[in-house]
Amino acid sequence: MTDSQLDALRLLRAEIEGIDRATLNPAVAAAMEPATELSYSLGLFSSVSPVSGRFSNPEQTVAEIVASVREVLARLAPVATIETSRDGMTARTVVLYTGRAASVWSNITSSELASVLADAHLESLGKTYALRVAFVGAIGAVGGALASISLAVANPLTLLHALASTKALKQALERLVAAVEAAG
Amino acid sequence: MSGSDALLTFNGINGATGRYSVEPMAAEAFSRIVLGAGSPKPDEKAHLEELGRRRLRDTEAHYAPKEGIDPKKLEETGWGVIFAFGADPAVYEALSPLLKLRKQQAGDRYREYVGPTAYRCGAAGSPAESKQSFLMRNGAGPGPVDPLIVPYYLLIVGDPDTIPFRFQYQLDVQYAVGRIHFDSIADYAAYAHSVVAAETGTLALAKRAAIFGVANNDDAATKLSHDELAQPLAEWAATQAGWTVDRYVNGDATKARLASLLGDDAPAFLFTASHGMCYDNGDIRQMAQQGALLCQDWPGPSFQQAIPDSFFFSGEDVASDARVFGTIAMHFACFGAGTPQLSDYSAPGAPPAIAPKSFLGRLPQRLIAHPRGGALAVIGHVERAWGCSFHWDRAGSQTEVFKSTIKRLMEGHPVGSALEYFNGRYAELSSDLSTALEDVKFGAAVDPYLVSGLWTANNDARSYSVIGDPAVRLMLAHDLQPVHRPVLEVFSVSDIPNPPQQPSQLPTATPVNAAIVDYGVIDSVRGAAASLQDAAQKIGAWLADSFQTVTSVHVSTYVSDSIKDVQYVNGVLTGAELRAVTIANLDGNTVVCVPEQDGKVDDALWKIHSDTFDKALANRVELLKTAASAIASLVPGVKAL
Repeated sequence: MTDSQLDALRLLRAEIEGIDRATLNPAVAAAMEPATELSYSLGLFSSVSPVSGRFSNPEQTVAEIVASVREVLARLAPVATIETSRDGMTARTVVLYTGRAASVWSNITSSELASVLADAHLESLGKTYALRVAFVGAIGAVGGALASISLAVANPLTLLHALASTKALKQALERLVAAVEAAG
Repeated sequence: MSGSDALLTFNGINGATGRYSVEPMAAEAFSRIVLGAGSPKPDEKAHLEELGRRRLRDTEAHYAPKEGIDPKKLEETGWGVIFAFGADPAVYEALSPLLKLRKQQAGDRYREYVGPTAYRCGAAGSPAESKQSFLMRNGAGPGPVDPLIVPYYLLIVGDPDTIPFRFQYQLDVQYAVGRIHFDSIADYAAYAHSVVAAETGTLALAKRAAIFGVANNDDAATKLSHDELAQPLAEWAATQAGWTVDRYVNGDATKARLASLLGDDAPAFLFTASHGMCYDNGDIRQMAQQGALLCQDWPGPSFQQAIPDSFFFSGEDVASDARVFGTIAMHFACFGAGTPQLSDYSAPGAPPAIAPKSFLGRLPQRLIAHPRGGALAVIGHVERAWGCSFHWDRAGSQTEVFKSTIKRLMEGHPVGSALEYFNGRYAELSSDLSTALEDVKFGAAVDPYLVSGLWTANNDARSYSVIGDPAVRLMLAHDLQPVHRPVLEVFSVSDIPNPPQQPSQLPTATPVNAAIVDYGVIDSVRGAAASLQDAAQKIGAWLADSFQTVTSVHVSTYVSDSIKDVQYVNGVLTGAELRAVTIANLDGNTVVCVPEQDGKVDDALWKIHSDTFDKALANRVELLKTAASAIASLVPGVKAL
């Protein structure tokens, strides 16, 4: 894994948290969405106008979000294996994210080589752990955004903006799925 | 046999010495043990009261959950699975095909006890959760089963060290309980695969039963089980309509014969009565061979030397090409189902350890996880089996209990429901035993044989356990249906379904539905809101699960001359030398094993190990913070319009 993967994931989390915050902010919602896109009858919303086409099929967008959530949760492997080699010497660590880690090291006679290998391997291990934390953070942010959207769609003041948020969240989730895939 | 001078004989042969695991003793001597051990401990009182209620229910002739529930219909009885708190998610994943099937069958009466609702094992030094406490947490009290609250069929997933046998016994009084535990994830997957294939595929077994009764020379225990259990059962079973019964008695109950019955000639139902092998605490053979079935090949008690493998049938004897798919077996033998760490039968005081830890018998494990299609369940005995339990006249005929159980199995009842007769027997005997012990307490003179007989029969009835899903049943060929026992494709770890379905219990419940109703949002949006909420809940469950598995950080460091040959199996690296271990529990307990070299601490390796541990610990802290923060954002009230 690379530092850029980690950075991208942190940015993605921030973006999703932004979607979450904006979803429940009626002021933002009112400013963004013209009321003409809703038809209003007897005090109840009876339909969402297909004028712009943006929200013509909210069920499909939601279905895609739900599928992406499932995919992300499913693809996150419960185990990671990190292997580092230097000058024919190897270190391998198997990490179970439930709290176990088992490392095996080549029998090394040179303390200098041991130090080089250990530094490199532990750095990789640290990054692997950091990536996991970043994934958990991003997934948590998705949960928060979903909860916000599900509340917002129930409120006439925020309904339209909630639908906009679903679209933004769907796109963010697609990138999260790709990040999970890239992390192997 | 009656009277206080009568000698009681016990099943179980010590494989190392060839002698009885418990020497025959006079009833009077045995009753002294019973009278010392018989008084209920404070934590057992609730269980005795429960047994009393069960007894009351049984005298009213109900062997079922609450009135109106058909134990043969999962949609009525419900089905649930109980994991231990912090169980390995890979086990859940491996079982997911079975869980999916049961969910389809039980509908809204399907439950998963995972995460917050899982069984809570005792932390170091504290007691494990009782049945009453577990049920209370999950909304159920004592009394008949209400499957809308807690399902009647309950599958315990976990080793008996984590979820004790005692919990299983207690739960089994009112519920139909089974247990599975394997050392490998692949075995969990293989078992799930077998049950799903049996219930959704083409399996149709011939109505054939086999009764296998050992009677070793000069051995009172097996003579008793042969003459008064196996033989009567064989005669009775042969009268059951449509069933063919093969008898392996009168010297025919050899290991070769049993190898065939658990090999290429497996019947739908197999009953065996024999000694079970047992070993001293910690014997290297104990885990693999305790509870193995000692066959006719044993010459009897005169053979006072180590028992060779050729005399008994163990898990290691189950052939890789055995065709046991769909079979249900019942073994009357000591330790046939499992072994508790502490003896159930001992003089007053701390019970002695009879094993390094509690464990399930290897034979049932191997049978039900067979990769070419496993047996669906094995009914067996935890701890010692007691011959006098079906023989003793004042306790009533235990043969009736066996017959009733087998009859239910033959009629297609789920195995957990079939075993209700043993649970009823347990309740009845416990009630009688409590009365007898009360009499002793108030100074009444009691017949020692009465007390010891009641006690042994009581424990014997209690200790019958189902290894497997309690909802499995014999899949028998109906009239005109061709008999068919397919061979399943060998199941490998790579076949384990991916992705995992995460546990559905959640600590979150946002008040979305009320909001939707209040605002009257259009149906499509309402449906979308429900889907979004459901997805948010899935994430909440996933986070909660990762939060709750953080009970310890366990780091092991190994060295090897050939890393390419090192394999990772069940949390252990094989083919490498373990040099350092650090285990830090959340309760503060920490275990550290420091590497040494030439009598001194191996500083270089210790530094690597310490650094690795520091990283792991820092990660757990970070994960905890992140998961906690995310969960908090899902808690009701935090988000509000």
